[in-house]
Amino acid sequence: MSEGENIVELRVSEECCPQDGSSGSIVLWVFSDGAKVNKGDFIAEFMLDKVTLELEAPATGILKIELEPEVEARRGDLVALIYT
Amino acid sequence: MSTKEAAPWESPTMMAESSRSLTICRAQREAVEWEMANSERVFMMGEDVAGFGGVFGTADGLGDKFGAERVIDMPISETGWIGMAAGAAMEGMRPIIELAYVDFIGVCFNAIANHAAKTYFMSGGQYKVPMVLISGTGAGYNNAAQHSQCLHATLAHMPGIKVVSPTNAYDAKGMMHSAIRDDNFVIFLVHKGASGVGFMGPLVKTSINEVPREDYTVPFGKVRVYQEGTDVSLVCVGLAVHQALESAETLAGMGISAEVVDLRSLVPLDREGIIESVSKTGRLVVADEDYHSYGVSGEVFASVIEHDASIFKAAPQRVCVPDVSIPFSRPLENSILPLADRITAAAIKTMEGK
Repeated sequence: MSEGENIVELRVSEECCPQDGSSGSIVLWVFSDGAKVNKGDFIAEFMLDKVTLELEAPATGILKIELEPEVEARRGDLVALIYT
Repeated sequence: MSTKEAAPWESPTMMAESSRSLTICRAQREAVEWEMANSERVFMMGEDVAGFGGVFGTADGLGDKFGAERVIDMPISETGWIGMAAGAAMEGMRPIIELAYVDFIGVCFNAIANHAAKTYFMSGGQYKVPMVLISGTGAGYNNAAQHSQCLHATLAHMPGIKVVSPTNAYDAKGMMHSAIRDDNFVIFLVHKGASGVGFMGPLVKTSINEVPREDYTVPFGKVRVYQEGTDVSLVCVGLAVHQALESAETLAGMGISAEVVDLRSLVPLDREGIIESVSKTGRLVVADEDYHSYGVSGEVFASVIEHDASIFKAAPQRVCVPDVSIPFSRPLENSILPLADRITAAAIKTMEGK
């Protein structure tokens, strides 16, 4: 990582997993690892109990995927990093 | 656009505008959204489209964006509102209507078969019906006989209707643009299992592909060759395409080179595209999740035979739903669907003795 670069984390939010112990998973990554994304871009679908939520890029930068599709995840788990 | 240094693991080629991979329902929805934003004549109507966004995600977000006058929730009375949409189309509007399950087309078939399909002809060309009917097809999730059919042949049999069924996101967006811009009545079918709604289970990976941000059209009446091959043509419609791709991998392991052809459009049907593939391979398997008899599969056979019956090196095979209502039980349902194993067995049968 070069100097001056920031990393913004995207974690499983309370909206995605409102109850303690509930878990969901990524259904779809719209962009591939290493893609340039803009803040607010729809980047992934997260599904909990048959309800699909859209995840947005929290910052503009390079996407590093940390959670693969169909892998169970809970609130607070790391989904992606954005290198700004 | 940031000009900062790239992250260490990033390749320089990735700095261009990032490409997006979408599901079918998202891709087709982008086309609807673009057309609605660019023409006030385009509107959407159906059950659960405004508030819920369509049972299969076909209208997600459109109600909020365009309001209740252009994305209209309708009661379960398709005879009335599909007839109403046909009338609106005749008067110059471009309605997009959604019938979530194609199984229920029976209740509005008079509006479709006698009005939407025939008014252009009956009026001597004075009234066009530029309407798009979106509907979900297909089985594979234990929804039994009345929520699992494809009815490809039932719809394609009737003159005056274009019937299309994209099987990947790129085609879905381009074909939806084509459908809305078409001056004719178009029925736009998507297999529920491939549309990409999360609750239908894991996504069909081969249905997800790169989708441009701008608008573009994919013309009707041309097959898409997913994979080239030399020994046997697997000609498919709908979800069967993805099963055939799996089958083609198995066949490759046996030294059999399969060509996977997606019809994409039932009306108009690309008979030349079918003939071109079978002329090369000499062997044909048609996989279609519709019923076996009187179906698209038989029409594909006829397209080849009427051109030149001597093309076949072996008797062609059909892999369809046998002529039974689709069972609820998972083992029974799996036994009647055109899944990869059945396609593989049929392909092997065409190779026997060669």
